[in-house]
Amino acid sequence: MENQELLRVNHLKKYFQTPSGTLSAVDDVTFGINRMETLGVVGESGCGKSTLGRCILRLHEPTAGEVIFENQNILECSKAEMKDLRSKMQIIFQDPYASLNPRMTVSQAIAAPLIIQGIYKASEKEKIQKRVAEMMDVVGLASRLVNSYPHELDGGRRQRIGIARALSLNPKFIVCDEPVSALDVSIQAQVLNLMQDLQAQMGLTYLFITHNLSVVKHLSNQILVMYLGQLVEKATPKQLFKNPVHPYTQALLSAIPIPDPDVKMERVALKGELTSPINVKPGCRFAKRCIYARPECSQCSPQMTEVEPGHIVACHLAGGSMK
Amino acid sequence: MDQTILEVQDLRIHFELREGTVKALNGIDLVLKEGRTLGLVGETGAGKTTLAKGIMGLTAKPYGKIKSGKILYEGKNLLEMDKKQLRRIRGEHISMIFQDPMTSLNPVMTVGDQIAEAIRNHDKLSRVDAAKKAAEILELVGIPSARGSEYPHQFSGGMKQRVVIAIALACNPKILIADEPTTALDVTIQAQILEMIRDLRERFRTSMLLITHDLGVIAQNCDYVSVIYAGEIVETGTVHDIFRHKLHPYTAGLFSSIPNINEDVERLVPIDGLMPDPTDLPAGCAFCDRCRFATEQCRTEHPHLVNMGGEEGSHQVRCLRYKETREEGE
Repeated sequence: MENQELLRVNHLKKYFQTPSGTLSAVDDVTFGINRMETLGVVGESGCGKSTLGRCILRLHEPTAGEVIFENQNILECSKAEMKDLRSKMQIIFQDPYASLNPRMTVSQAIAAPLIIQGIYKASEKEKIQKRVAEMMDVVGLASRLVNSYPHELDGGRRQRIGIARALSLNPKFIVCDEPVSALDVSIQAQVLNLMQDLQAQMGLTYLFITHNLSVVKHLSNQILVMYLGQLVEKATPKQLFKNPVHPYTQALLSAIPIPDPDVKMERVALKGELTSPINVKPGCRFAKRCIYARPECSQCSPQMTEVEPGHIVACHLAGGSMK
Repeated sequence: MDQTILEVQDLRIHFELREGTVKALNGIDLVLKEGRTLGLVGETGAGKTTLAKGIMGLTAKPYGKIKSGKILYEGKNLLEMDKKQLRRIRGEHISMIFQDPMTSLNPVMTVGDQIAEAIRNHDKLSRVDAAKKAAEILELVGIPSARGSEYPHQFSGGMKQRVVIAIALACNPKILIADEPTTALDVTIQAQILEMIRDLRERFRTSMLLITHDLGVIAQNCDYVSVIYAGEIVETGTVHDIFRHKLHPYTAGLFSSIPNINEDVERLVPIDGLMPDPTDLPAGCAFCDRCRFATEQCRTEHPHLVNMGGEEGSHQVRCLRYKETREEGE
């Protein structure tokens, strides 16, 4: 098991100082991802899932913890080492409208990482063009678009540029931060299929961040559920959808509208909305909204417990009187 | 059979721009029955919002032109009404919830005042009475009335959407047009909001046109469904007609594109290609370039809506090859 692991995150923390106090965006998160697998991260907006993805790539500097990539703690790497690592660890951003430079053509956008990483010199135009053409072919962009600007393209094509950019350096690991959320369903399916194909072809490992539970179930080998910066449940899709243990996971799953008019939803009631992540008090962060909450829940933080092999939950009531 | 409260007939709205004419709506027919919910599904650019705004008389001027059609509300054509008559209809009889709660509220007015404003536009109430009524409505949508004196930025997204709904319901409209009311919200909040809309509708017997691209939301909230593609209704029927006996290849494509939470599918089946350019629609079926059933005939002959019977005899499909697609569906 151990040597299959490509990436390990240990006790990762990211705190932001705000005028009203400390905002704990990511608080003590620990997990690992195996090679060529997909780890899905789900949670509501504001739960810290994007911050987590960015901390792993050091786009945000984590407050504490370890990120171990190929047996090396990347948080201890120097700037130069980090730059080399970036060709192995890439990110696909959420918004294909905002993540591309509007003044760069498709070919310039895809070539930029190759030049920055020193794979080719800017003067080696022919080699660069060849690689760009290759990448466009891989992600299914027609070669006639090579000199188009992002505003001439639709969302699905722009997201393909984002994918081509991330892939052009032959990375091993990609953080996908809601890559399909801004796309229409028919286009979303095209992009998801592409990402699955590329994973198989190029042996990629994904950290797939999304709020869309059906997408995560479709793609992932493991799913993390986050709530207010903390991990509340980790399981395989099968375990999670069959037997969600944490009350938050149960509520989240029961809130998905089922596309079948004859299956009526039985919703697990969830009181109120996300509480503030600023100056959080000890105890379970979900306690205020939890229908099972007991006095001890707001006194000390729940520990991770394994309820079945590979299925861990942070809840005081897990394993016992729940269900 | 329920009474028809709103009927759209052959509505065509085009936007005449310098670059060309955007044919946003190309002969829309729609029937909304009293007390029922009609779901309108389609992708970005299919014309969903143009239709909703068209019904409300909010087609953008000067580019938006209504080329033909009727919008009949209780038998009266809204398109022939003058501004004054329309103002009475809007809000009091038909009101709308917009997609983005973040931008549809006035940032410099308290939410209580915004609700009271809607009330005073239609009912002759004193300021005090209107404020009192506004407080009641706030409670109705699950916001403590004390928060009426707060400004929109003090509310979360879900709470703002509740305020928008409170404004829409302030005058007890007969019809509610909800344009992607929960798209900007998290699933848990979406479930709360949809449940609330459902309760309020049952209480006031409001009819609703629910615009969304989420088939789950449709299945759980609608009685009837119309599928819109490139400004045309391509399939319409009861929710069972559409979910169990879908006929149009586009409808089928929509279903196979979404990962189903209850089934394990190895691979999604997307719809290839993109929606046609609305300034340059094909002569035949608008879907023909993406359709695996398409023949030469599909490229030249424009299909009409064909009635297929169905649960209530209202299942219609716009496809020349519906016989083949039906066999495949079963």
